[in-house]
Amino acid sequence: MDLLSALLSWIYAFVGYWPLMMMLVWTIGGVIFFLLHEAGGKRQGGPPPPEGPLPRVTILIPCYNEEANAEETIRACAAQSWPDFEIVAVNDGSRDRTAEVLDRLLAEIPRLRVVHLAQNQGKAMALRAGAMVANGEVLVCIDGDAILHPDCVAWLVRRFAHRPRLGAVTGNPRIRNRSSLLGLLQVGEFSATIGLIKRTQRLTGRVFTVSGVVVAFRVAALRDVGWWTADNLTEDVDVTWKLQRRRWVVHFEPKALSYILMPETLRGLWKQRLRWAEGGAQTFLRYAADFLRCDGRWMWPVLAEYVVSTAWCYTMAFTLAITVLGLLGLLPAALEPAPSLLSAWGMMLSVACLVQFAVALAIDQRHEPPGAQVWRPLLWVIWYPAAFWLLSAASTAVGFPRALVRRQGRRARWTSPDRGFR
Amino acid sequence: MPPETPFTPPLILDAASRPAAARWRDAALTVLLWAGWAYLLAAAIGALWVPPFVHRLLPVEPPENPWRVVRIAAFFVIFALVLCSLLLLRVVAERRRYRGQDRRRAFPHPDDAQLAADFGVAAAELPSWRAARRLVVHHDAEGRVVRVEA
Repeated sequence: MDLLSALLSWIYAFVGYWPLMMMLVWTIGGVIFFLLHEAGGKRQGGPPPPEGPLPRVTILIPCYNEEANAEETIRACAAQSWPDFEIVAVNDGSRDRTAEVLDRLLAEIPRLRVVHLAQNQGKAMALRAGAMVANGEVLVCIDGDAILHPDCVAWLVRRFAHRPRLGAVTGNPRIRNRSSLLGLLQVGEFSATIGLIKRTQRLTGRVFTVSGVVVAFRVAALRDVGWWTADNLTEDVDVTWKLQRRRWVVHFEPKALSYILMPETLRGLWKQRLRWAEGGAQTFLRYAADFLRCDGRWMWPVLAEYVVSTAWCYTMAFTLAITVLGLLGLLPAALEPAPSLLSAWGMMLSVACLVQFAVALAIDQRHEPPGAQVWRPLLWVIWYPAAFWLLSAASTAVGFPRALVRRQGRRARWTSPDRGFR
Repeated sequence: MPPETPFTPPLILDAASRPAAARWRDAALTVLLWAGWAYLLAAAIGALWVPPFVHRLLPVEPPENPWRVVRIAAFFVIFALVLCSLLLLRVVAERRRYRGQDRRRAFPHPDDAQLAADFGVAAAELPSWRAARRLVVHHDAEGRVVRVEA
């Protein structure tokens, strides 16, 4: 019993200490990245004009059932400040009026080209079809509901000049729908978790993933790694790992802004997070072994963080189950986590979470327009540790085994969840 | 020429389709949660320095050794600072190493023969497809391109 009790106390300590440590690392790392790359720069406007020849750019937009969003997305693309670009919209066998919308825009927007896939093939295959007919040396890939800031492409593409081993540059997705609890929590999450993680990971030289919703690729790099993988549920995570496996560099450009819609129902959010978790696990299972050699050492922090965080999700679920059993009186008191420990650590973690959100929103403030109510997510952040940590833990706990049993080669096709309230 | 319209980010701060009752429910639950959190925060702070008689008002027993919690948290702060300092050193070292022109080998843009081999199509077709504004692509069950209508 003593041994079991000691083991459980280690598990409880891990459940409490790990998120605290990672919150601190992301926050401090994010601040360092901000001071190195963002502070002092101008807040608005485009980048200085690049020197030397400008690469031709193709903006690739895979669209599946995007009749409601495609027009707004394509018009924002057409307004880019980058001088030399084309837009290739790929209709991935949509079952709604997407084809009609794209064909109508073809007559209005000279830069637009349209590729219709006769049947739905999945996002990776749609991207491959677009890349096959693209004229650009750089592909800027966005989602069919993303609205680019007019300087987005310019900020992304300028980084490729004088960096021959730069394979991809990922932009900064900003959430559009901010009128509900779930929407505002995701605004905070994209700043405090996704934004800070990308900034900190850039300090290590490797990132877990680009944002598939706004990312620029060098065509030569994509070709070198075999383009996008058709059977991965998160083609963006997959291609990021493939690029870094071949020692291509991946950058994060926080000034490349893309406004996106996120689900605002629990069902939609769960569906999305489960796909992310399963796709991340697919990528890990497929490529992790390739990074265990000495020349893959810069990826080790990313691998270690993924492994420990996945283990944390399971221990978190286990601890919750133990707590419930204890509350029901089905467990000896010696094995239960001490209530005083739970309350003290719960408070420590929630305060750290508040600090993390405040720092992240302060950093991202410069990327928000006037009147965007930048600090509003802080009012709702109290839900984050309780609701989103559980959601993340549950989606990983379910997604990882699903990835283990998923048949390799099975095409990844999905329908986007709800796009929130308008 | 008409003046260029400044870009306004298309944020949705107040969705018309969201029922008012749902907004009030969210607000009420959040206020309750904040109140509970503030109560627990008082308890956590109280465990460290509030006089013992006040503890009777607090929801949980204080930890036996409350300063231990603070010491562990301080350890993690120092650990995170050291780790991030190492990352900063790496960035500085890399900046020095690649100062000036990056002399690493550049990969040339792939030619049509390479692209055609990757996508399993005829290289001779690619220029006409790249010039076309509207294409219809047919795949087989394995995802191979079997026909392209320009």
